[in-house]
Amino acid sequence: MTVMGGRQAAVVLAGVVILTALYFKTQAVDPERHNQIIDYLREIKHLDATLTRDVLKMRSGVLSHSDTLVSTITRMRAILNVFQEHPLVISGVGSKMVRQGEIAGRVDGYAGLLAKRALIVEDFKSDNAILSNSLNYFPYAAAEYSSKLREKGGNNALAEEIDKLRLGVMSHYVSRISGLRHELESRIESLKQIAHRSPGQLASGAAFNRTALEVVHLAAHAQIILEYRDRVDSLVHKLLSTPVNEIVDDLHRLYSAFYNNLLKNANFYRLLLYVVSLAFLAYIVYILLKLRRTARALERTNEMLEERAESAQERLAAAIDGLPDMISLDDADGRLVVCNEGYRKLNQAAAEALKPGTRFEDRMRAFMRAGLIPESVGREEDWLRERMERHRNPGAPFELLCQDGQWLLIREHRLADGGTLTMRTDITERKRAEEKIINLNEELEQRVEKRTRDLTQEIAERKRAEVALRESKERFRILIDGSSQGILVHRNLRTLYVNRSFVEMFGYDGADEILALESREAMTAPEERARLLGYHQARLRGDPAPVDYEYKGLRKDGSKIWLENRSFHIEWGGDSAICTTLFDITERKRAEEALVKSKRQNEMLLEAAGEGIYGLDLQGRTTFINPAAARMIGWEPEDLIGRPQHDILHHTKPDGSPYPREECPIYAAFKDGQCHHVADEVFWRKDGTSFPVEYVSTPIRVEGEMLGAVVVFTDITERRRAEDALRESEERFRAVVDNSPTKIHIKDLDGRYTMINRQSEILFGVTNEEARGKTSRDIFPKEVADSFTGHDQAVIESGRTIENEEEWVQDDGVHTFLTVKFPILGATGEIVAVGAIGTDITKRKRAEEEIRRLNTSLEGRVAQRTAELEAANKELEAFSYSVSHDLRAPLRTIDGFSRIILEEHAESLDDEGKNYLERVRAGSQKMGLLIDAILQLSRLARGELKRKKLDLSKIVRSIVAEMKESQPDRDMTFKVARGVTAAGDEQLIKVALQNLLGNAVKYTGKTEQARIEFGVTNGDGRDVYFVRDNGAGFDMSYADKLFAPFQRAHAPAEFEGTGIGLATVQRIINRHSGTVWAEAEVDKGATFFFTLSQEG
Amino acid sequence: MKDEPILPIPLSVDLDAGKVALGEMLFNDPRLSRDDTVACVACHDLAKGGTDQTARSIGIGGAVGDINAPTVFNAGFNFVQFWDGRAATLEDQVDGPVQNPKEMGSDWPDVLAKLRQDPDYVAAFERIYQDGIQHGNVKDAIATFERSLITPNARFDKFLRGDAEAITDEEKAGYELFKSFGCAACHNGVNVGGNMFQRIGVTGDYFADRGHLTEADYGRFNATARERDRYVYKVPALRNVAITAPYFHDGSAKTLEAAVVIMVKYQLGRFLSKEELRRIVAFLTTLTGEYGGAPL
Repeated sequence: MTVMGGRQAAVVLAGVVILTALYFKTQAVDPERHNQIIDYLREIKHLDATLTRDVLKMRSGVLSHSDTLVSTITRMRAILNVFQEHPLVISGVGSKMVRQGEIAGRVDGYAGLLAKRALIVEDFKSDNAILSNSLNYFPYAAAEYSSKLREKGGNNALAEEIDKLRLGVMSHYVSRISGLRHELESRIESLKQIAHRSPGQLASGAAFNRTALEVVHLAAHAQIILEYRDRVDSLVHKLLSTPVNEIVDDLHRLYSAFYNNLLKNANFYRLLLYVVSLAFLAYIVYILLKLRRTARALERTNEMLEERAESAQERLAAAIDGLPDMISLDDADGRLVVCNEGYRKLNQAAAEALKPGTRFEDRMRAFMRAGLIPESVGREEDWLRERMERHRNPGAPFELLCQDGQWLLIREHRLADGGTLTMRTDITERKRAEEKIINLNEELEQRVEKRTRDLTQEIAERKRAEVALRESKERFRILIDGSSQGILVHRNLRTLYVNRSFVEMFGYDGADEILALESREAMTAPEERARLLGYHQARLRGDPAPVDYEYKGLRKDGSKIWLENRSFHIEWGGDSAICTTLFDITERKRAEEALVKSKRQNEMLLEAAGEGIYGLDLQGRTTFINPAAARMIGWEPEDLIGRPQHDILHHTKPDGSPYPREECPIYAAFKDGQCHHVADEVFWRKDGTSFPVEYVSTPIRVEGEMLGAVVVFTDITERRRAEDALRESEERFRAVVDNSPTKIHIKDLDGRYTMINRQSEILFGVTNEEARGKTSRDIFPKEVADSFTGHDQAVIESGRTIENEEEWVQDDGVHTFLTVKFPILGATGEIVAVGAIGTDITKRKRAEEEIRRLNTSLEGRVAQRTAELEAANKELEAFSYSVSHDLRAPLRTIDGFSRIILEEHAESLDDEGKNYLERVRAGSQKMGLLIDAILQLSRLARGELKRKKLDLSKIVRSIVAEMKESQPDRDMTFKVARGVTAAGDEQLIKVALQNLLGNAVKYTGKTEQARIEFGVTNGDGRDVYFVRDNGAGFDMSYADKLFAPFQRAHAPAEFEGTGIGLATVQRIINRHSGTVWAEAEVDKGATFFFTLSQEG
Repeated sequence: MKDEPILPIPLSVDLDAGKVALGEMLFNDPRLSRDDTVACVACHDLAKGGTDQTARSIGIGGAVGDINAPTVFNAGFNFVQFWDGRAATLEDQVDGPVQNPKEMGSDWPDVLAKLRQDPDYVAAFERIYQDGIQHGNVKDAIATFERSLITPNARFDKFLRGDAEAITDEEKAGYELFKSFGCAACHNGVNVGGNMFQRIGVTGDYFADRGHLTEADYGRFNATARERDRYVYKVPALRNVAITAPYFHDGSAKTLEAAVVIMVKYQLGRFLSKEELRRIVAFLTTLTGEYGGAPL
């Protein structure tokens, strides 16, 4: 059956795999994607046609923008991108792969083509724009220009030339006449040359520039048309001649063929899929039917087997009944299956418990109740538990006493199906025989015991003798072990005995460990082994060898110890052996080594020391000297050893007098036992020069005995020099500080003065020495001192310079000091002190206050004066008002009534009367003008000046225009400079210029060709504006009176005027902080100059 | 509407709002530069017409750029990016300023590492892109934001859409001159330019007159090495031109008047009267549009 099942599962699995594979084969084509690709291919063709069409439209000027070209190419690129990123076909093997590669190749080919075409289109757009612009300009501009030339009757030859060029270029453009291009190009060239080199042929004067440029333009455009027509048409030709459609069609064909092939395959597989599916379905139905039949056959077999089992059991029961043993069989659940006749007989008393199916536990309980198991009496539950345990886990056979003294040997076996087979054998007879043997045994043992007691007594006596001997040995052993020396006995390097000290000395755990060693070599330092072996071998040969020597031993932990060895022969165990005693001398060795090391160190120190060091004995002779000392005094150390030192380098005092030995502080050291420190003496070199030294002579005393002295010295030449320099610098500082008129002092961080200068001494009333170490509080009243220390503290905390004013009461009043307090930094940049410099600014303060006071009173005076002036101005205004109204009213009356008389009462007057009245009128009118002029003049003095940037040229031009208009019959030429600007009040400047220009017009009234000029020149870096005329001029002797009111250079009869004009001009210019002056000559004209303040 | 060389800007563009918002964050973020000082917006200030209104821009460490920063407004309508057209798309364009040592001077691994430290960016990118913060996604977001920077509703666009009163008679006369002079031969389409290349100096030698030739002046030649591309540039769009002074790739023209005069002299080779100049400039001012509903 199982074989059958495996095969069917395999068939089903294979079926599923095949169906899946077939399904995927049918999916090799994707119709939706196929349709999309076909659409794309069609669209590409369409787009290309659109592109070509749009280029042609653009060439002929029908399409006026490039956006459509751009969007067409963008779309083509997008489609191509789809083709390249997702290959057109999705699967294929073998020959299909080849086709697939072919298609990809076509796509790449098309991509290259598209890139080329896009580039052609780019070039076309640029070139076509240039060509079309020239075409739209050249023919019309050329025609217009030549007709313009003819109209003016100027240059007919040039007009002719341009017409020829126009016709030629356009003919060539339209029909491309061969050979014409060359001729046209030379025409263009000659035109260009005319424009550049022969300007006279074109036009004259100002018109030239424009004309030349016009010709240059036309030549350039003609050139462009000739050149770009070919370029553009060649691009269009290239675009049209590319076989795009063929390439796309080819791609289309190739792709379609491939796709159809795939589709055919897929359809074949689809058919195959249907067939296989049907077969598979039929197979499954067949299997189901077969399964049902098999189930029925199984049922029948089962019944047959059950019948057979029953008859087998019966036969088994009959067989086991015949056996002598008592047998029972329990199933896995502990229920009785079958038992034999013997077992049933044994347990007759509880026969009801022997039915098949009874549980083992129930059976045992029944037996106990029937008294079949005497050993369980009184402990039934315990016994049952043990029995159950044994039954569940059968082990070794066991014995059981049953009723009537019957013994059973019980063997239990676990069967394969979990059941238990129990076999019981009657062993009562064997048990009885055993009991007899046990009784005989006991008797024998009692006899042995008696004999043993006798023997024990004998042994005890012998033991006592042994103990006595052992104690004597022990005492000896303690003695040896107690020795601090290590003792070892050996024969031929084989260790025979070691004592405890030896064991401890080498760090072993016990003597046995050492005895177990092969050789003593393990306890010798490796570097010593050869030497010791040499001794041993010499000794063996009978040669002399040291017996007392030192060597290095090796401890168990690998450390080394120094040992003193002594070896001698002894008798051991009846034979000759060598006994070696060892003494640990490691400590001593170490001390010796340390001493050597420290000596060496001392020597090195002496050699390395920068100071000079030498030793002296009690006679003052040099015992040692270090290299530094020898170098400093210019001697070799060996030349000095043993010689009296004082005589060599200390023989003379700094002042040149001899230095007796008895006074020498160096020698004194070992005489009085004191240290002597000297810093003001000199040592003498070998070459006779000396140098200042500082030295210390220290007595050398060892265990109370004076041995000499050691001297340490330093050459202090440099230090002296530095000290001198410092002192000098300090003195200079002191001189500067003391001579300063300011008070200067320095305090330490605790606020104590370390220095005050002379000025401070005077102010504080204490000397520098007295002030030193004192605080402000010691010198000044508390309030003053606290304000000082507060400032000091601020400097210390901020680390910055602080400036403040301090006030002091002095004999002549309160003095103010401007005090600068600043931190003084130490070598490492931290604040070490606070400095202060105070300047007495009392005088300046007082002066400032005086100025402030004066200022205040001045302001008051200015205010008062301003008020007065304002009042005066008001009065003046009131006066002006009354002049304009009150004075002019009577004038109007005079003029008005005179006119009425003349017009209405003419008949009652004679000619003379009329003449007088005319003169009255003229007089009153003149007076009116005068009053107006005075009013204007007075108004100029007041009012606010509104400065702004002015275009003077523009103002002058407008004035000139008005003047020309008002006097059309005058022959006047005005020359007005361009771009003259200035800053000023527009109204006032206009009035001034009106006056000046008015004067110029007036005084040229008698000049035939009047020329009036306005301009600007430069004088002393300022702009000087001027108005010049060629009129009557004036005598320069009048120059200083010219600008006064009512002063005139000419008689009123000659030139009429009020005499106020130039006064007005001067007032205006003065208000602008400028000046005005004039230069003139009689009958040659006059020039009026003026300047204006530069402020804007 | 007749066949006009200029087309109106569409009133809206359809874009992923999430990408636009993320792109705007990036556009304003100086972390795209090496020392965290220069964002895209530094040289493309939307309040200054999408430019910095200076001839040469200042990049990191005070470096001065080689070429005038063009406006970012309507850049999506340009057919290629950069004056020399070396980037085919706005996405490709992003690589340029980020890595240019005189502009943002950074590199992508550095930029991506910085962005990945910002939990806001991590979350924003993961909402939109499956693979989170990547080079391509950063460029996509910035380019999408830039495509949203359109300025529709210029007075001239209203005119094109049929509102005859939207521009004055003088401005209409300026438009006619713009066409008849030949300006529109190159400056056409939606962006009034930005759809073709052209050489500067057709009827005159611009660089000989200006002097100080630099490598940047070679223009498209630097991208293609074709001799005919020497001194060739992408024709700049004239949208919002009135507020994006100075002009040209070298920023040499300070005023619109100066720019028109130079163009007529070197590109068109003809005379321009003061009146004509005034009218053309008047027309150009009608190209200023609206961004986000407000006039620029």
